Amino acid sequence: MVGIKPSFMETTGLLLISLVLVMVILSFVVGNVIFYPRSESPYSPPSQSNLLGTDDLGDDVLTLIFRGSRVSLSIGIIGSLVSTLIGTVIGALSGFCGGSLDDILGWLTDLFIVIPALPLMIVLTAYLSPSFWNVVLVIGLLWWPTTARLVRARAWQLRSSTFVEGLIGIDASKIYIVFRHILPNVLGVVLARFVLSISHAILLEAGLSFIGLSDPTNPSWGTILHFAMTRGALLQGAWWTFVPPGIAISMTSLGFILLGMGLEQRYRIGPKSLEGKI
Amino acid sequence: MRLIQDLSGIRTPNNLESNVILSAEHVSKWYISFKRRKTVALENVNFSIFKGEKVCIIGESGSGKSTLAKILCGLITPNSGEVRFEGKKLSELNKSEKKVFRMRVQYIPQCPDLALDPTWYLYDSLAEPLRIQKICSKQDEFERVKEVCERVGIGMDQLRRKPRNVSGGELQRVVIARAFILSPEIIIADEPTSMLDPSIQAKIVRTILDLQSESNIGIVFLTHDLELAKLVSEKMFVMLGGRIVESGYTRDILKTPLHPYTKSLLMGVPPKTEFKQNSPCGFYGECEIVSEVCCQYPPPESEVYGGRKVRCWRYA
Repeated sequence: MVGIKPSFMETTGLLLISLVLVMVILSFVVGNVIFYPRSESPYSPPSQSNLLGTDDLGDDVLTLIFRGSRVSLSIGIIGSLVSTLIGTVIGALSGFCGGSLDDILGWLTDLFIVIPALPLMIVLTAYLSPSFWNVVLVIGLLWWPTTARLVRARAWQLRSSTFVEGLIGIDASKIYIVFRHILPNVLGVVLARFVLSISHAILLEAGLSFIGLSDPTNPSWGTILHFAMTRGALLQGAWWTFVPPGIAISMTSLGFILLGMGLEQRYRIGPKSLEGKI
Repeated sequence: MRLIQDLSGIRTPNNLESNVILSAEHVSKWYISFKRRKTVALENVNFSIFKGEKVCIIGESGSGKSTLAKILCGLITPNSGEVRFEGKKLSELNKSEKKVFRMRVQYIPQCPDLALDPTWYLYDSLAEPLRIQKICSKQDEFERVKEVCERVGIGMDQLRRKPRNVSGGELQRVVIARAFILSPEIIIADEPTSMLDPSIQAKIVRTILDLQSESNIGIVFLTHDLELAKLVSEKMFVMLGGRIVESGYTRDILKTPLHPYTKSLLMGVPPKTEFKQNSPCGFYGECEIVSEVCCQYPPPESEVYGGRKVRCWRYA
């Protein structure tokens, strides 16, 4: 039975996520009006006019971070949406249909698990040219195996359950059973997995842009770090250009991880009543 | 009146061959488990049910009742032998014939809690067979659901809930209603009352029997409860270790049990040892009359008199 009251983890996660959402909304609503987009001097330390100082071009770091939140969050959400969708459909079909389809899809899943994802992502993004949609696509196409495994296990369990047997008994087709019965039953697990993979996607995106594989005209938090690294902010001791985006990245992904873990506990498969007793 | 005719032996298999709706012929089912060990669930089982007949399959757990039931409704394919529906082999039915078969033969599972999708509202679960078979419009669908609900005794307002919010008895009624909604010819009820408490058991059995007599459908009860078997059935099949060891009219079997296992079952004495998979008879461990042949060859099925069949060397 799923409780309504959110747990501590979920509350903290939601709090962090809503902070980021406020950032995103602010970046749209007020944007360049409140913040001073460009001051005269590069690497000027935090002051009253530039709350977090400026970067090498004299851009206001706070504005960059607010704008970067849009990119990081949207890549995270869309990327993990793609990966969760692929993983769920593959997992459900593989677990429910069984037989040779399960073998083939299982083999494919194993293949994607075995391939080291990050190096492949770097190569692919470099090859496809690092635009917003390419990064989304690469994350989506390479991050689904864990979801697929999870959904497959649940679908396999449901496949031999009495109600699915009953459905076969009234001549329901396999596709019908998968989409009308198996998927609604795995929705909780999928939701938890989706939230967890948002945090992974945000980290991956930050990693890719940190090494320069992102669209420089549309900078994300990782891009800010990239420029801080390559344009000598570290040497200058301009901490305000790399500490705030780092904190933003880690806090956002922490928020999604906490929410995801909370949800996972909520929809955990297995006896909940035994929790803490063994 | 019909019952008396049945018992007087007017109904013999020969003159009613055409009335057999569902039959299993020499059906065997085995599973290959870990390390290639063969576990036999059913062995050379013959079973048939006539139109409007009440049949009971009795046996302890693990005797193959559920496997037989699932094979009869086409949920499991047997390794050898054939199931025939109205004379046609189940494996040779084409798509539309299969659809008719799925409509005519319905299965009531053992545990009502697991029989319906936990995420669906009961109304949708109940109307689902109609939607899948595409046999009526939305308005007709509501009328049919309403009618079947009245017949099994559930209020329409209960259907606004999900399975976890109603009691076991009500849920079992919904499951029964779901089986009856397609107006089937045969219902196979796999221990429909085993998960319920005694006061509700009787009501559920009453409901099923009322529905049966109203629409004159064939019903197969699976049970390990002798009292229930006595109450509901005209014909009885006794199963032991995947074989039907005795079959005939319920009254005959209860009056004069022939197979030693049936005798021990009727006396209420539990068998001393567990059924041995590899033994030829399956029961010789505790049989009072064991001859040499019992330990060597499996007993053949032999007809003792009018429709009464026993699988024991004593009657071979």
